[in-house]
Amino acid sequence: MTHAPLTRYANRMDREEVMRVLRAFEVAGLEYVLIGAAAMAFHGLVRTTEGLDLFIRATPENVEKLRAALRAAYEGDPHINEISSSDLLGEYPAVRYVPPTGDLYFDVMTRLGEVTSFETIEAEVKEEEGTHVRVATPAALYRLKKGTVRSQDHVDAAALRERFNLEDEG
Amino acid sequence: MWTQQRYVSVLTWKMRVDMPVQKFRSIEEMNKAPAPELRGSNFQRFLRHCARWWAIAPKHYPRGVFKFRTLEEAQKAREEYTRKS
Repeated sequence: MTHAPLTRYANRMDREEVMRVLRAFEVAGLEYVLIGAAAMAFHGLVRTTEGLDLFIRATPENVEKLRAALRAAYEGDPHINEISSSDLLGEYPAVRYVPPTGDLYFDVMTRLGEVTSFETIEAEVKEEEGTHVRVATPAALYRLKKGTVRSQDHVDAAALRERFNLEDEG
Repeated sequence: MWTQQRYVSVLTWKMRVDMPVQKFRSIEEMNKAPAPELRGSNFQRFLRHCARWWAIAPKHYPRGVFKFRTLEEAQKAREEYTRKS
């Protein structure tokens, strides 16, 4: 029986891939706010995920910036052209993009229900390896997660409430 | 200049290098010990954590763009795929 060297994981491309996409977002001037597990990690609550979740400002120009950023990160992927402002600003406010690497995906949203959108999510800018990343605040993440039906969101909401002494509003 | 951040990073570096093994007389003592700070930021720790998970339990999602009318619809699709794979 042979054992894989421990360094195997450290050399995987996935870590670099995420940073490459975040850098591409900044270069493209995309107006976005990171939510979900990646945002929680910026606040010190680390768990695994297979998807990066983000809200973007719902304008045709911003959707074009999203496409430009993804084209920069995943050069030559024709699927990126399927991301359209008519969908994101219309009937499909949630779009999942699975890049060629296939083991992580991006959930891009423009609105959630009637009230949640890029404009209504309280956010702060964090810096990671010189890249500026706009991240939902712990309180905003808590508000997003506490009302959903997904069990993982309930776990996340409890962790956020405990770590940041968050109270339910009204 | 020794900023607080630099101080902490050197301290945690020393902890990693100088204290690779810590000994405890009981589980309670072990639980009370501060968790060792790992190298890099929380986000880097998150990326390493995900990379390990992706390596241990690889999933390959069908490529492309998928559209959903609601977040619930998106989550349901994610769960269905996870169950099938």
